[in-house]
Amino acid sequence: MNFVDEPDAESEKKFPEVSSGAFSIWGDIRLKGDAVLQVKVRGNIYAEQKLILNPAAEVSGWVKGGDICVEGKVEGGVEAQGQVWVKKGSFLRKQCVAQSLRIEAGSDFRGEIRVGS
Amino acid sequence: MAATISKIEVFCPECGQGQQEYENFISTVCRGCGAYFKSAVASGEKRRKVKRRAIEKRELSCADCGAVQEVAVEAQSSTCLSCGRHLELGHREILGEHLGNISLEGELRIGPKGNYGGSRARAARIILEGRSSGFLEAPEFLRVSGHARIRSGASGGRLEICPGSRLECGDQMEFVSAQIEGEVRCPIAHFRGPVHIGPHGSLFADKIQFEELTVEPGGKIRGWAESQLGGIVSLA
Repeated sequence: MNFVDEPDAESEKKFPEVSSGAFSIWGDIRLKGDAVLQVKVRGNIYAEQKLILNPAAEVSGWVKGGDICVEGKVEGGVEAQGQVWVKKGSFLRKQCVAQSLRIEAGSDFRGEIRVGS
Repeated sequence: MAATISKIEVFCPECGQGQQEYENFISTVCRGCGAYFKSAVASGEKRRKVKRRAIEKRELSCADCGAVQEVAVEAQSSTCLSCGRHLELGHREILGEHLGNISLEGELRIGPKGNYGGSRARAARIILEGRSSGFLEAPEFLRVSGHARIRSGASGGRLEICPGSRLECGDQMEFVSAQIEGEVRCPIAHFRGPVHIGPHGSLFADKIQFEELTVEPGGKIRGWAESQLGGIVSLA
């Protein structure tokens, strides 16, 4: 299938990683490169490149980016210029906008869906 | 085919008149004096057994009550032993206008100029190229080819939209899975399993339910959607 390449462990290591269970970030985040997030964010995230939200990540606002992989919790929806991958066990609400999409069985999605121009 | 039973000449014990009877006859009436007499062959041990060909059978489940029975492979129809429902086992093709309900265990094809005007059609496999006013139920699959329209809803196993095809459905669609390579428009689309939208496929619905969704680059989907967690959720 010529669909999204699932992010592997190798590529995840190359990304800058923001991870801590000890603190939350209050406010919006702007990421210029590829990133892996594993924190609680009370705000929105804008990623110019690829963004991976690990299972521990929680975002109260929206997430925008190039390619987005959701493994954690996003309450404000995602909007990607490329692909969105919603993994098993993840939680996504409000909306999902992308050019291509994969929502795995076992994920919890509810909201508006808009794929393709 | 059954083997032919040859005839033998028997004689009346009363008047002695001879007459032809089947070799396996048990009793008869003399055509001369009307006396009833039994066959010596039938009462004896020499009775010849006719070998019949074993009939190939297959299992058939009733569309209404689900009772399973065995029918001959070549059978074109049967009656449910449990509820008495008439079961039509062959295939059917609608090329013009058709009124009345249909229930087939085979395949139903509604051609490009075909219009099914009944209230409900059920067939194991339905190939839709034309129009249907009634509800379509296809336990195995509903395949749409060409520009098709269903005024009522549809349900079944797998929904297949062929490349370049278009389906407009006026009511809820409920299937186990879907492979969409063409265009589908409906108010409610409910899939209990995976939905795959190909690079030229599109699904436009007010409400979409699925267990798993894949939209390939180039594919389109619009609507309010919900993934199912832990089993079937009925929209009804």
